Amino acid sequence: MSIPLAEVPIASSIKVTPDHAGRQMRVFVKLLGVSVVGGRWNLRRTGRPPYVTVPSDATYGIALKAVQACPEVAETFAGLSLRMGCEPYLYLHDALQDLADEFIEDVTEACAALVNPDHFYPGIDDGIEPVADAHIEQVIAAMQPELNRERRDPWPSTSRNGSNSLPAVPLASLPHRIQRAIVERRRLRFLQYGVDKRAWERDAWSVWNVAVDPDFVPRRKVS
Amino acid sequence: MPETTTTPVITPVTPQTQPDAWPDRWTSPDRICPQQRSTVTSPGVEP
Repeated sequence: MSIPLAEVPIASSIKVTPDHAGRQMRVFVKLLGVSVVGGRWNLRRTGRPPYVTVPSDATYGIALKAVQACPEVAETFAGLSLRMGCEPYLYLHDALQDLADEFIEDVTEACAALVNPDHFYPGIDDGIEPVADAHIEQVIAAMQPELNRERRDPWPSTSRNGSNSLPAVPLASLPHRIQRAIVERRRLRFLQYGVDKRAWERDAWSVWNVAVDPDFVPRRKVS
Repeated sequence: MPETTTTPVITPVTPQTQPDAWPDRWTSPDRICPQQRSTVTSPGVEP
């Protein structure tokens, strides 16, 4: 059962769980810093000075509206770096973990095609820029080293056979239609979090460009 | 009396193929921590 995050009262700390609904709200709350001053909440982006104040019984929905209404504070939730880490170990901004989780769910679903060639796995027809064949190759080639790396056994000495049990999925062995669908879904997932080509080129994203989607809950049920 | 020899028997080993195990196991959440899942999105490549 999902819990509309917008209706949850502000707390001094909150762990956003898979049950909390609201695509934009989930991202917003992960970036929100709160403190109590004079029986009211001071709201800011974590670690940034400008803040707004709301009553002690305010919800996260009220918090979001209050921040949006104050340009100086709202600005700190925009222009955020998309890429973290260093080449070649880049990862997304921590507040975009839902994006990563959603995409990994897509990839996991796609792997059913390894054992079922007729696996139903549609791509995206509308709402994204068409994906070129060359881009499919580029994305699949970029993902494979990451999968290979993530498949390393972090505790090899405790494994039964002393080594990793299975190799990473060879993405290039998936049918081309499946690879295309993966890349189209990837493009959609980024877009749902406000990351289009321009944002990617600028390495800048904004909470305010994340789709509101109040009913969204991640498919991944592990927090 | 001639010494008898035993011809060794070689049991053929079938290569272990596990494609049916991949879909369930390769992204097992207990093996891929959240930040690591984030790298698989390959943010260095255009969406």
